[in-house]
Amino acid sequence: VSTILIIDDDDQLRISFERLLKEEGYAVRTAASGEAGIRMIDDAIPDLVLLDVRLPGMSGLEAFKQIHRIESKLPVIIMTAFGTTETAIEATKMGAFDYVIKPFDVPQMLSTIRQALEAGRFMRSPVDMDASPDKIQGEAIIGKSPAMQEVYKAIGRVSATDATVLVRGESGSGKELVARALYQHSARSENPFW
Amino acid sequence: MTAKQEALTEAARLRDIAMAIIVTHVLLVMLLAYLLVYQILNPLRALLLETGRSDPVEVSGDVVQTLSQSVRGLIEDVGQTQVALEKSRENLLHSEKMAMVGKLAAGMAHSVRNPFTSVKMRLFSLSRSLKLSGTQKEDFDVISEEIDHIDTIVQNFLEFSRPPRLKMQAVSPSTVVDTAVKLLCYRLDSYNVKATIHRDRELPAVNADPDQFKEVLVNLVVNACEAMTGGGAIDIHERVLQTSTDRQQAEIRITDDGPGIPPAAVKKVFDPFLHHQGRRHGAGVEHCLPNHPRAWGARRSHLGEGRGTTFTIVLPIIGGNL
Repeated sequence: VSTILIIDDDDQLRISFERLLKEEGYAVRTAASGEAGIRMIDDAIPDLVLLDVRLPGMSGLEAFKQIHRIESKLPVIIMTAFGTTETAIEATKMGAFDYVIKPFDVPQMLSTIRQALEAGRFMRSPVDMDASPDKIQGEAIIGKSPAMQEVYKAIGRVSATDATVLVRGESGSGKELVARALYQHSARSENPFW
Repeated sequence: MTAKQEALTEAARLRDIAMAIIVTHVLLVMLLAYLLVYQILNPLRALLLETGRSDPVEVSGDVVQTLSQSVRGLIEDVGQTQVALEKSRENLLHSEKMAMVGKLAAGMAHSVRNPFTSVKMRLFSLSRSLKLSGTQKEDFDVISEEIDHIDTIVQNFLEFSRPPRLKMQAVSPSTVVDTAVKLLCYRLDSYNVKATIHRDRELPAVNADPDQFKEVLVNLVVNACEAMTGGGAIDIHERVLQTSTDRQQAEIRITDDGPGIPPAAVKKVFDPFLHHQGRRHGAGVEHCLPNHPRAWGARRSHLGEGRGTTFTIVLPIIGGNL
């Protein structure tokens, strides 16, 4: 079960959001301030943080910076009630997963939450390359054919560079796995993957 | 000593005195001339050069005459500057007001949007857990839609108080007038209003944001339509103005034959969200004119008393200020 931490100073919003997400099958924790939220993250790292921009005490942006320092791969969705999205854009540039403007469309928000959780999961679960079937843990790119050997070599060659890579292939051929393998073998593997 | 000798001595003394006086006078005149040239005329010339900086003056002529002309020019300049200052002070006051509205809007948006979010989430949960009949489903949809509607109002309020980023470009006001009227043709029909454009030829290009400009015209026309209950006529006059300072300006006048703006409300026309007898009167005017002064080279309003209202928009023509 994925754990989601909601940091927002509006009491009713926290309660409503918690109820909604629990119905969706997530484990939910809530905090009314950035300071309280960071203490919770220090305690146990959740799978996703929903963070309001305007908070009493520490600002949302400052809270985001600290969360990012604690765990750079923890996806954070920034929420803002202002039409001005400068802070939100700023946070996204610094590595937040996404930002949404309140009041958001609920199904859309749930979909964003699913994507963020998936991105977090991708970063944590390594993609094995050329693993023998009995050794596979989680996901892996398998195959020993010369063509697959070329794919492994290409991933190895390019992942060390700063080049932008376009992964092409038919639907279902495993482009996403290749992309994740590239990320995990790159110098950026400590940074978020989204 | 004889009397003759005495007289001669006296004459010689007088001659000496006269000579001394003449010499003194010559010296005095020279001193005065020196004073005149170096202490008065030269500073005057320098002054003249200072005052007539904008256009080169002929210093060799009557210096005092030229100087007095220059000073008169200066006084006029001061008068104009004072008017401009007064205007900019007004603008500043207005900007301050807008900044306050902006702060209020931002505060309100924050306080209103959090409850909206909760309401939306609760509605979503509720609609999912309940088995709803057709009409109940419709109830839910309407509630959701109306919440979005209110949020749009909040958003508009926020945007209203925040000047947009302008995309300035050379555009003929005539093109913008055409677009606005075309855009409004159905609305004009529904108000039973006939709009006529009076134009000899297309106006030369001005520097403006076409979208914002169109918005201004649309708002002015819609306001006029709302003021003319039961229909009427709107006349849009376009012409090129040749001002005294050889500046060319494009003028667009929008006149309706409605009831006019009540004298008490005239002063408030450019205030945001003016309502008169339940009708929006000034909101549209405000919405795009003083709020975005950068979009406008100039603005001016003639408010008719009794019958009809005329709004005049004046914009400097590109390359027309020579």
